[in-house]
Amino acid sequence: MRTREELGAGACILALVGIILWTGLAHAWTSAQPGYVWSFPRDHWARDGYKTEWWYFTGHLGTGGEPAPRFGFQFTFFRVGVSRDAPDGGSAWAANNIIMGHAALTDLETGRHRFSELVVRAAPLLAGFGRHPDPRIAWSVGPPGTPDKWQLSWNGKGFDFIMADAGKSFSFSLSTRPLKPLVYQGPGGVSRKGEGATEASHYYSFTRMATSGTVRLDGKEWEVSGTSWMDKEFGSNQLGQDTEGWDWFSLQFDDGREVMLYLLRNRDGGTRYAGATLVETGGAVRYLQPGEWKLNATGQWTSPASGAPYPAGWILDIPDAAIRAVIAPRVADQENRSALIPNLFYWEGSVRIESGSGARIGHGYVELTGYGENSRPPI
Amino acid sequence: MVRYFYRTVSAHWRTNPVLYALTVLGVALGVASVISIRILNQSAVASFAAGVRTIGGAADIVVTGKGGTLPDAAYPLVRGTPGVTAAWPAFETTVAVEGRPGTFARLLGVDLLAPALDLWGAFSGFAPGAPVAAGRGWAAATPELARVMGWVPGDRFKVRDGAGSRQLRFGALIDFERWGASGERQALVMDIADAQSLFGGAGTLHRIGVTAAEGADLPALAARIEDRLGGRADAVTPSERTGQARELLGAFRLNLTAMSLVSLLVGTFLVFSSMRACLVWQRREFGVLRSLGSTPGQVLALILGEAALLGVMGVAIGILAGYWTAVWNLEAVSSTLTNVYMLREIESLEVSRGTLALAVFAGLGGALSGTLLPALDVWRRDTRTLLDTLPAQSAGTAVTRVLFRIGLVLVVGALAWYWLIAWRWRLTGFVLSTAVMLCLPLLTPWLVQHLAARVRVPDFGFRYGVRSLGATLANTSFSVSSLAMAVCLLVGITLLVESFRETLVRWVDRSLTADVFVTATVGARPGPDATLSAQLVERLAGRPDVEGVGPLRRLFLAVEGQRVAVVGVDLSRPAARQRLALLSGGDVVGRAIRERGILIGEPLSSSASVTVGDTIEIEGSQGPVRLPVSGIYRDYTQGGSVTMDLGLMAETLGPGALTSVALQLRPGADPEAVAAGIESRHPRGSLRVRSNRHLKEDIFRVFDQTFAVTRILQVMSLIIAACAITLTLLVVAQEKASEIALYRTLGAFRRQVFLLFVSKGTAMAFLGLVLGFAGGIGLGAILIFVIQKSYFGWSIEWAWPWWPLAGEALAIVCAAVLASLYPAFKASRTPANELCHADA
Repeated sequence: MRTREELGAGACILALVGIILWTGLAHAWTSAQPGYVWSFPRDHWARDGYKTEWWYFTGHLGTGGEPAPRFGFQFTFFRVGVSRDAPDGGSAWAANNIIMGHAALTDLETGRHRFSELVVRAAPLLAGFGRHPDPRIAWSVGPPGTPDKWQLSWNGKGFDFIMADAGKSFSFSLSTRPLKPLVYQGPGGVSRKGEGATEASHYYSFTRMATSGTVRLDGKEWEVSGTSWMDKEFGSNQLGQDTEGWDWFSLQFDDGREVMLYLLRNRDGGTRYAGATLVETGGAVRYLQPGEWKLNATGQWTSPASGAPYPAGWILDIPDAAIRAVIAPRVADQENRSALIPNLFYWEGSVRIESGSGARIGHGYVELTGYGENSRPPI
Repeated sequence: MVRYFYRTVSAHWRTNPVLYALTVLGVALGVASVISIRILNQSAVASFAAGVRTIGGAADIVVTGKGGTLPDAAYPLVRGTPGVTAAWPAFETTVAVEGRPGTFARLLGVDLLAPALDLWGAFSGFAPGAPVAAGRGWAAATPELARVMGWVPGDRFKVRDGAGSRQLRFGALIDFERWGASGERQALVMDIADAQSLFGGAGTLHRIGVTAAEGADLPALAARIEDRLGGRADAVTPSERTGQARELLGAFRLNLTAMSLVSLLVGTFLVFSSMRACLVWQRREFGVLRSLGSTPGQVLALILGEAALLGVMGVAIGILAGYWTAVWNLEAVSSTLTNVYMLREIESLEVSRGTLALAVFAGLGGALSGTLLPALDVWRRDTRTLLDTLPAQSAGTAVTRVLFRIGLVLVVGALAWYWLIAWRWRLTGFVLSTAVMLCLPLLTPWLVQHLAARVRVPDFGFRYGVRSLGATLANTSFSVSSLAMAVCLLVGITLLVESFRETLVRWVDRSLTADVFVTATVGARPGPDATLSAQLVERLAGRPDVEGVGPLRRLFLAVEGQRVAVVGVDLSRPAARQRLALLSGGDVVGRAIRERGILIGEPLSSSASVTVGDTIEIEGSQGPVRLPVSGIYRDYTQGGSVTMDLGLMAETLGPGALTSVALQLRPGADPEAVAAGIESRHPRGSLRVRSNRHLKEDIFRVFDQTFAVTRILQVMSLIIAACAITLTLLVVAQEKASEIALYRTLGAFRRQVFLLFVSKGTAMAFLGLVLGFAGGIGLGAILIFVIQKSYFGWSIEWAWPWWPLAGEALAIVCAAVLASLYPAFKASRTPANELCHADA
């Protein structure tokens, strides 16, 4: 017999999924279609009319000029559209978007991973999205118990973002500057997620950005610098009904190349759709066809907290690009477990990349969603 | 012995069912009177606590504004306070649900887009996203409300508040139990933005619920939250909030508790005397048992066993009787809570384990303790003494004198202690009352003895009956004491209630001078959110039958840390001045206008220790303001009030709409017709329009409801007193069987014996009345001048309610005469051969 908590948790996750699905069906949200005319820097800001949108930053940071990274981090703002109608002006709580914020910091030295999150309505009191040319792209009150805000802003060349979580005792404030040009993930910036008409998103990345700032952890503060990867994606109903989750990779090679690849999985665990992009050292982009690359999982790690069995270790082959990469998590437990939304958990972590002979050839971030019971991601 | 025990118990029931039934009844009444009031008392607090839980959910801390509400901007501050793990805002109002007259619902606006507190899990039939995405008016309802209204998802319905009618759509059921809360049966839940927007509450929150980090120091967290809000809010735990309710209801509960304690005393006394009477009747039987070889220990066990059995029966009946007595009085107490304290009504009665334990303690404990001394007496006496004629129970003069002196010392000592030391101590009144109640049984034996001895006996009639009371002093004293205590309670409460009523009549006549009173309501109830629109006030003033309009704006604010009504009136109007019964002379109101001062009610002056010339702090929505006190007026509202000029109110506490107006009609206009006319032109539940006469009637109806609960004690006291008399006379009939037989042998008619016992009963009633009236006057004085003053801050003028007192005296005498009929009948049937039997 299920406990009350389990039932409540189920109801919550269903409700969140439901909010997104229901609102998607009820209103004519704009889906990602070819022919979108990009305009920068304006498109760094929120695009109303699309149901979901996110700004995703992952990276590695070293301290004291050391080449080896000390921290891995993730910083994400999600916008979830609830209604296309403009909010009713009668109340300061009126909102037509929900903001979710996820941030994680992995201390690669100690192997400790921390995750922070927030879910608030995008009402002027609590959170919101700026409009170009206001430098603020998105902002929110911090997680409960944290007086400081989370914010993402455009600094003219790159992005600045700050987060803090007093309860989890960590914060970071980072500034980025692209080292390579912006990359569209998919022709025209349309990234297909399936064969359905709406199964696509508008997607671009900054695959290598110089990053610096400060990190605070358990009362200690570090000046940090390193590189990061930024994804911006927006669309509506981009995932097919039978999509259970995805594996997503952002890999930065030491020779200056980058690879982004993703595999969308069916409920039976098979690959439903996949895509990959290779960015050459000079910034040239090549969209890899399915036969041009191969990714095999080589290990598994089961989360003791969620019970979800995740792949942990892969071999990536891109023969045409002479890439054979052995990918392995730097820390096994980099699972982000939501305390706000029951049954929301996913693995998002720093990975090292080695050659077949064991030499370091790069590093990156991997995201694994939809593993474990009832864990279909709400996006 | 066990078999004998069962046989003897059933035999006793068969041979003297009245005595046994009375004994069980005595225990049951004692238990019932104790627990009925306790049940009501606990249910009142439990009802409020349930309301707190519904509003606060499973919050560790609830934040409320000192000015009644919080600004929206308070939420991010509360949420961001270190130590908080979740915070959720709530906007609330009460609405009348159209389509079913008399149906009201609490409407809660909460953040339905935040996954805090498993809120989404509380919904069933939840169309996800609908609250916001479906546009205005989506509402979830509690199963009870949906059932009553017959709603199915998608149904549209209308609700009404003071500002008008709104259409909502029933979207889902919400089960508060699953939200970690309970209580509210008829409630609607909407998204906070929608609720604020539809019900004119933009920018306003009523509370913020907070969940604290595990192991957090809650008082420290509460202090941090208050600090972040600049001290303009209260952050309290739900238990503290319930504690505040206890405090708010303190005076009311105090009355109930005091009555409960008195009933415990009187009830236990009756149990004690019932058991004692029962034992006297069996005394000779114990002698027979002893002569047949039973040991003293076996006899003792038999006595205590029977007492325990009777006690258990009494407790069982008493619990049922107490519960039904509480049910019978539920409406009155519930109405008091809603009318006087603006709290939710009692939805169900709570019978706690503590209450049941108290019932067992009072019933069984009283029965066993009442039995113990006589049982020990039986235990230590030899067989011959037990079989002998019952010993005369005339206590020695020395003993009665000592008891009398102790009684006097108790009263005089208590009074001296009060005048010299303890007059400032709040509980003094209760100590004095207890002293008065306790001195009655101490004074009674000596008074009975001496008064009986002074009666001259010309013949075998009434006066002989009176004189013979001294011969059965121990039993008579119990009976007279019981009666005196009951009368004392009756008279004391009657004096308090009637004096208070008289005072209130004078106060109301002075304060309510307008012809018609129009008050804004929300859900048919006045409240801080109910206001009158300026257009409505203008329309009322423009009526041809209206000569003048007295504006009034009422806020509920924290004044010197206490939440009281702050009333704004136009002090320049003579009518406004007249309504205040000022305690000091001179042009107090003129001074208040000139000095920009305020006037405060007597209870507030007393509880906050503030007098004319001092300043007091009022927590307005714009922050605290400090204003000088220019005068004090008589005030009979709960906790007191503040009155100030409307202009000063707007300036210092912020502008706002009026909450009521008093209409002065032109000569010849009919107030009832005008009130009915105004009410009929406005939606039901949005205005309360009452003529002067109706308003006064309402005030006294509420007053009478408030004191209706005292009926329990009055009725119980009367029954207990009657039981005591019957029991005593039955015992006397048994004790004096041989004496009665002698009278019969000497030629006394049955009629004369009958009259003798009726005389005894009547004499005991008179003695009890005299003592009880004396004690009751003292108790009344303590209640009026000490207890009410120190707890409520109300000045009550003493009044002699002659007719009610005379009626009660007559009822007591009648009850005593009736109570003595059966024992008199039994005694008159005593056969002459009882003399030989007794002396054998």
